[in-house]
Amino acid sequence: MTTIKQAQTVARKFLGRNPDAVMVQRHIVLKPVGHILRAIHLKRTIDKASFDPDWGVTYMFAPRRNGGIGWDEFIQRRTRHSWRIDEPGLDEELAERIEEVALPILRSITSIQDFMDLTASGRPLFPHWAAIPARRLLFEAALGDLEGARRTCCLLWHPKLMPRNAPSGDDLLDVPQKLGPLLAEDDRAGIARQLTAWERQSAQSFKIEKYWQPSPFPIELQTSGTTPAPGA
Amino acid sequence: MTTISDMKRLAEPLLERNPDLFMARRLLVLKPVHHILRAIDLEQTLDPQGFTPQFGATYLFVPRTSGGIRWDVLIRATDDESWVMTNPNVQQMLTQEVEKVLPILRSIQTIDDFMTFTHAPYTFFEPWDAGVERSLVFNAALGNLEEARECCARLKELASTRSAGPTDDRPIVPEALCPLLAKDDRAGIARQLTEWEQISARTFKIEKYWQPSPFPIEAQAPEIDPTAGA
Repeated sequence: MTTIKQAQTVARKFLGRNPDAVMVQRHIVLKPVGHILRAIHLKRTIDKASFDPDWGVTYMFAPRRNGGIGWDEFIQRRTRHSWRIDEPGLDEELAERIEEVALPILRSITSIQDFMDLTASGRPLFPHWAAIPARRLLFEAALGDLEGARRTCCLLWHPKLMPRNAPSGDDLLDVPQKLGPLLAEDDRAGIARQLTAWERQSAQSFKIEKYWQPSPFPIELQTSGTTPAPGA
Repeated sequence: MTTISDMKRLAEPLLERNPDLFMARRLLVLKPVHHILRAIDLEQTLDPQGFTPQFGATYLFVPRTSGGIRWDVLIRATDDESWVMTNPNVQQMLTQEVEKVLPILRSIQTIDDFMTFTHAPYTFFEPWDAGVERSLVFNAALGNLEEARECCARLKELASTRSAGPTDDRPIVPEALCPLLAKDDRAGIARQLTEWEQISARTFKIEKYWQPSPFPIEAQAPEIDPTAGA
């Protein structure tokens, strides 16, 4: 298991060449951080001397409490070996592999729609943004598809999706409870405010508050009354 | 305490003169019974010789577990009289006063009529659309799917909907209707409402008079959803 310090040392070469990247604990984070977080996670492994670099993306506008990325993929070495921290030249290899494998994808994802497209692109480990109603609700709300979001909210009344005795404060409950009444009233500004509050909470959870910048959601940029269907 | 047989005896002339009335426990009910129950409730009172007649209506398409009419109005005794069994005029007064309100009850035939009735100026009723839960059910029954979905969304904020006990309508109704509303499942909604009517008919002990009938939601052509299959 490598330490945070070791992870930060091995990332130094990459960071030196890519000024839009910053290190936060075990994550190399690409700036700017708006609605979408793009990062390379230098994960611990059971082996003390190794780490696993994963590139990944996630959306910030959910009440996150753990720092997991969710949509991530392992960055393989050129050889079949594991990433052993004490190997000479590993920092250079890591920088190159991130630049080859991860950066083109990560830099191409700048909007919520880009993220949605990525989750729909058929990567085997990436769940589709609409696969879980509670998540679909967030995206429909963010995009301003109020009718779709209300339908999803309805779906969430299903006792199997939303158990009656779920503990209060559970994220699963939080999203429909907070968004539902705002959706019922077409309160676009209120929805945007709520999503922004969740982004702030996620930024704290990922410890990237100082890099996160609040930015407008598509729902705010539309004139009221238009509810485009998201590209499902 | 007045008994059910006391009440049945008292109602004999009414039943004879009005063939569309029948008696179920302490309720004088108007036939036919479809979505709306119209009745006169001869309620018990603390006075062992007394009773209180109330006329009113209620909707059957939620799973009722108590037999209360809820939207009802007291039928007042005439001057210097009271609703007690020891009053020799009580049967005649009941017949006369109930027959005065029967036209009101007979005019309540559809769900729409009932909705209008809940807004009646002479009562202290809760209007049908005063609460989100009830608005949800009515909008679903009428086929106002978008309005009903708004109710589902609004209801999410009420933490109490989750903690309410299983006998309470509140969690049962949205949990059953909202997922159907999400899919525009008109037939499914109508089936669910009919099932609840049957439960309510059993609760009121009027099962053999209740007749299942189509809901407005079934009578409409389904909306064509331009985003279907998107």
